Amino acid sequence: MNKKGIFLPLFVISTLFILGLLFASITYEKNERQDKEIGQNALAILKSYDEGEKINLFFEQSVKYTEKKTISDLYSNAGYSSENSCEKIGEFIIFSQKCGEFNPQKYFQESLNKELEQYNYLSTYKEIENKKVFGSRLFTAVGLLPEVETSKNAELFKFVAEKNAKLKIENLENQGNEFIINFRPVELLIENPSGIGEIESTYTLTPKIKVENNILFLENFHRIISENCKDSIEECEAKLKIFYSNVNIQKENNLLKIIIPKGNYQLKAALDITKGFPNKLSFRAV
Amino acid sequence: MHKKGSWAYPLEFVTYVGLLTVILVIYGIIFFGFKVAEPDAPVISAKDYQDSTTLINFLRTPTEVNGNKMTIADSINLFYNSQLSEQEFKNLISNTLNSLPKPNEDSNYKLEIGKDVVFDKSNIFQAEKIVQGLYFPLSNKKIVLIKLSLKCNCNEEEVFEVA
Repeated sequence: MNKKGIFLPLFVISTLFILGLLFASITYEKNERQDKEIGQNALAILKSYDEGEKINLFFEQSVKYTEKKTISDLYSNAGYSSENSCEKIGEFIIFSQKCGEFNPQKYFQESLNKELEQYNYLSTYKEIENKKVFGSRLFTAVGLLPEVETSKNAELFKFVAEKNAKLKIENLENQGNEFIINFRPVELLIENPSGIGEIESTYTLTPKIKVENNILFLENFHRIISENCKDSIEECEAKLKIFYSNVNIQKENNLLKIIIPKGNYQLKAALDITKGFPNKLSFRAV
Repeated sequence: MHKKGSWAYPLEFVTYVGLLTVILVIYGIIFFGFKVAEPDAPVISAKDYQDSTTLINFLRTPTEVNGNKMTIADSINLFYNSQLSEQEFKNLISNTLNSLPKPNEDSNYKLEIGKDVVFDKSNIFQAEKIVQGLYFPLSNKKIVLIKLSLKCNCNEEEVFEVA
């Protein structure tokens, strides 16, 4: 056996071994480091903020649709919700004390909340993807590399976002011709991209939406009726025509059926002065 | 093992040198082709910072339909409630998509509203670069998925400038 002749095969084998070892150690090191990239936490915050913007748009649109329907119902029922205790004559409610307290702002909030409950937000959130390290799957499969923890929070984030993004009015701020609707805060998780440690950070969204105060017209209507329709039906009719130039009045025995157009809505009520008018209570939402 | 001068020596030499060459080529491909030897950037890539701003701004773009001021989002709801003709809706969306910032003249935005409504002028050679999506409510209480994507033959830097 020629001992010198073994040099070449040994050289080939050791090259294969050394390069293999180099490849394994580089892959191991990269695999270990992939969850420590600078900017991952900032990206997680940005993604939560982006989700918040989507929720805001979803809320804005939902409120646009439901507000119109709610106001339309309130006007058709002279300031009461569609589920009221008033007596009715045809499609007109009889605007009397049987209807209970006159508080259109309260009914507006209640009806709006009920309508908004039917909109369920869905999230398109995707987890932050860690970079794929070439060869790491092979080494992990043969047990040479440990399984890298990826973010387990994306599904949880989606679940929390969809569960919390429920429109619930906290209060209405009356600002004269406008209402500011303050909604219950929506708390979103901030993804923990490394999957290390507990999830502690949250991003809280406090949606506020400005809408036209269409309740003011209903409150003025109540005041005008209460002040001018106490004594006679004729006086009431005459006064209504002065205050509302576009009013449509139909007389039926001792009843006045009135329709007052206001923009896209129509205020409808039947007045019976012998039955008295509802009392107005002030309402403050908690 | 064969000595120099032995009849089998050249055959053996060529085999080992060939094997060595193959090993070096394979590792060359792994280290340089798959960039295993290149150190990773310690900072997250700028393209990862993409958000849904383009789509949200698009939906909030003010427009006018039959003399009524509204947003593109409102017009989508009108279209789904058959209160806006298909032709009018197509024109409105196409014009607004064309007004969005693009990396170059050949770029196109693709908009998908639900499964059936698609606005896409791009060709098969254009790659999808920005993809943004959100669920959008309609007045009939249904929810529709809206997806906006930028299709172009452009590099990441150009895309990042408009994203």
